[in-house]
Amino acid sequence: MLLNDRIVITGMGVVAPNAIGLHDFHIAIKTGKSGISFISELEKLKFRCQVAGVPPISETDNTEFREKYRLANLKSTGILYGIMASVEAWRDAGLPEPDRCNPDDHTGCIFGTGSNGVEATSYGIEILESVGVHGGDGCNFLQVLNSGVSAYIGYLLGLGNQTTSNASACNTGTEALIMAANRIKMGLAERMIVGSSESDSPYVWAPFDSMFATAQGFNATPEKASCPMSKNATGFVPSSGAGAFIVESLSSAKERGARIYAEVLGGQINSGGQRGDGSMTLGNQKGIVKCIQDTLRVTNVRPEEIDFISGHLSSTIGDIREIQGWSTALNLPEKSFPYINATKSMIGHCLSASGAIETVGTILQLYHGFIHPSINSEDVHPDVEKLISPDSIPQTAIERTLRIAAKISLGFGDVNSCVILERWGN
Amino acid sequence: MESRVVITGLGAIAPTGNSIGEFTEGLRKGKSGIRYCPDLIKHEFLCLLGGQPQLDETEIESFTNRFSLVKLRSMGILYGCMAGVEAWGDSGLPILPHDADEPDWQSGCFFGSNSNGLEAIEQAIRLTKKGEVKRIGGRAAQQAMNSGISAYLGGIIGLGNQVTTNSSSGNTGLESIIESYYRIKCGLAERMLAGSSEGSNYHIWAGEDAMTTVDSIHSVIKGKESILQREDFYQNPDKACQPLSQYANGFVPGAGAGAVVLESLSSALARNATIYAEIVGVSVSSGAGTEGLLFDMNERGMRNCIGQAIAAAGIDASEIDLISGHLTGLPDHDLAEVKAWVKELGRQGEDFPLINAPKSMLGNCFAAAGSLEVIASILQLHHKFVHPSLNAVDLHSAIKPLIGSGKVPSNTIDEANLKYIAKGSFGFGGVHSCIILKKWQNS
Repeated sequence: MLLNDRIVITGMGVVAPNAIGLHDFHIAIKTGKSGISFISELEKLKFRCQVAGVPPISETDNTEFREKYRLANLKSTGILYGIMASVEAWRDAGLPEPDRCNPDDHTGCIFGTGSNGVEATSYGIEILESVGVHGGDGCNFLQVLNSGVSAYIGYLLGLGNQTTSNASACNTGTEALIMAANRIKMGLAERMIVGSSESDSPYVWAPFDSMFATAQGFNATPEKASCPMSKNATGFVPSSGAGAFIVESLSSAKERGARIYAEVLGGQINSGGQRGDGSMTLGNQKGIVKCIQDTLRVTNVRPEEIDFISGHLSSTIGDIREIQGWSTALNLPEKSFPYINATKSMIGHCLSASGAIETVGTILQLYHGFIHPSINSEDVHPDVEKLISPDSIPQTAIERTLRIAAKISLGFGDVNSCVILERWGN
Repeated sequence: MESRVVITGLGAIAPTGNSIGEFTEGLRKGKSGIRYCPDLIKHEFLCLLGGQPQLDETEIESFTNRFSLVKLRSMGILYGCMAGVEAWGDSGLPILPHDADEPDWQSGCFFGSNSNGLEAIEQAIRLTKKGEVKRIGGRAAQQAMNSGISAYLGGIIGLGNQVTTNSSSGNTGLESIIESYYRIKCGLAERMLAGSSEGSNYHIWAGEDAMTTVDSIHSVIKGKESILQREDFYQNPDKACQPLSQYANGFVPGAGAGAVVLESLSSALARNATIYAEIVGVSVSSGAGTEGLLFDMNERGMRNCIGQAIAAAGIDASEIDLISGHLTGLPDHDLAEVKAWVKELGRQGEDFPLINAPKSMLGNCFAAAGSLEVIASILQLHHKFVHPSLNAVDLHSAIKPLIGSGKVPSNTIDEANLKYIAKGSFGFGGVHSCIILKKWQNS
């Protein structure tokens, strides 16, 4: 069943709180640029955490993109970001202009989301209660569906293979990448547009604010609010955006003469089952360790071969548990522990979009040969320091040739995924 | 090394019954789950009909107490958990105690939804608008997230393999089973709890109502006595949903959940489990809205999907005994679907297999449709019967010449010797899925 075809990444796109597009995102993460700012609407709505990360899309760019793809009435920002990132990835991979009349049966889409349609849902509720069911925009319904984002992408890019949306909370983006790689390995598709996106809406963030999951005490210093692995960490900073990849079989990429960023050596998806020390909101240590170790096993990568880890690290209590997981799973002497950084230190927690955006970051680091700083981690949490040396956490960008990176994502429901990537051409 | 994949457990919360026993009985008797829902009029719904599971408060309370499901607002998550727990129990698999150290690493969950968390989201929106974020509470986020249903089920049972949620509108339910099938086939899991659920929420139905639901006003065809006016539907709700019929003019929204335990044959044999059926071929694809609309069904895409599933099963199209259609009651869509089956199977008129529409009884349970309907297929194989397709006595004039008059059963066929059933599902965005089920015969 597994054809063992090698799987590579040939295109990427990103809409992040600190930059739009691959070029700017590359510079932003290398220079440690924060995308977190004070959001006055959250103050007005009496949120505890009034800082967030919102992609800085200009009004002009927004209008232009919507006009070009006939998305004037699109209400969901999550769907918009997802389409933007996908279109960029498609172009970046050098794929031909989509032909909707002749859908490409070998290309599909797994594009995940946690709650993309919330703007459309809110609109639907208003319409229902004010003017009745038939007062609004009939197309609104499609955006309310969890699969709205993949349906739009499949339609705009003329995809004929599987087109669907996955959801596993903050695990979503990395899970989508692994699922797509498996689909190609099974010979069921040649290439897949993969990614995840999240809307920026107070309605997405409110439940997290209510459950004390978000950062407290940083409303006056937004850029300091997301501080994974730091003793100052008080909770995550909610944010939004999208990341997208073109995942392709090596044979297809070679045939097209495509530029290859990296190879997906393999990945694993599991759950801690909310047993042991795990719960709905916190991962079972054993599940995290098993996920990492199984990934190493299926990829035949030894722990000491990992050049850097792109952590899930969200600036919560979960950081310590995650570091503990890496430390146990790799079982390396402290001085041999690989570099580890937290993209969330700059962009906050893009929730379901986080896995995809951060994996775009991981691949950019591999490809361009740098490890981005993990900002706001000067004061390492004492429990983290017991496990790894602070020298493993880069304060400024480290430039060097890299080969292997490991990316992990964790999510509510005690779900985990881990993927190992190798720079192409080593 | 590939695994064969079999079905060893079933669970259902449906408009026609709240357990597999009731659901089977409903299928056999051709019972309609469609009811008049006068509440919908205050929101100016065109269609005041719906298929909702009939659960009373005590049933709900006893379930939520049993699993300590505190402040569960989402009906979609509730239905999914109830069906999932039934299926898991039906397969004879244990629910791990809460103080277990480890989950079952070889069992996972692929449970789909379209918008299960709406009740939680709605409450969050209301309170946020009033500046009362603090009152939302700690249980809202886990219900509002799209993956709420799989996260709840994973925690209830103690699942340690992949635990996730898929979504592809009307395609969701069948897709969840197909994804689970692949995972087991490739050796990535031994057992998967697959399925999907849809809550009874007016906001979901509102979206559907704005587009495609039953509206008898448009269906009046002069000179036909059997045409029912809208008011007649409300007195005879069981007549409203009429896939394949000359008078079909839209679908009736439904809700519920279906759950299926998929298992590697070796695991099922090792624990001596009851095997209902084997999954022998699957396919999932997209037609990319070739006609220029996201809402279109397209024949080419459906044909490809059906053809791939049959090829994967390694059988001849002539071997298919029964088609369980997607068939919603939207005349254009039903016609396109029948054409796709006819052309792809290469079978027409008297040569066409039997075909029935579970939606004629259940309504369109949307995300839950595919899983409930595939369960209907499995039950027909296992118990040797073919359920009737209600309200299709007068076949659509364009469908009639294609498939012959006797192919849509209006009464239950007992002692049916079925070997292969093909089940199709289709969804908005031009997505398709198809699955070929084989009767299990200890071989």
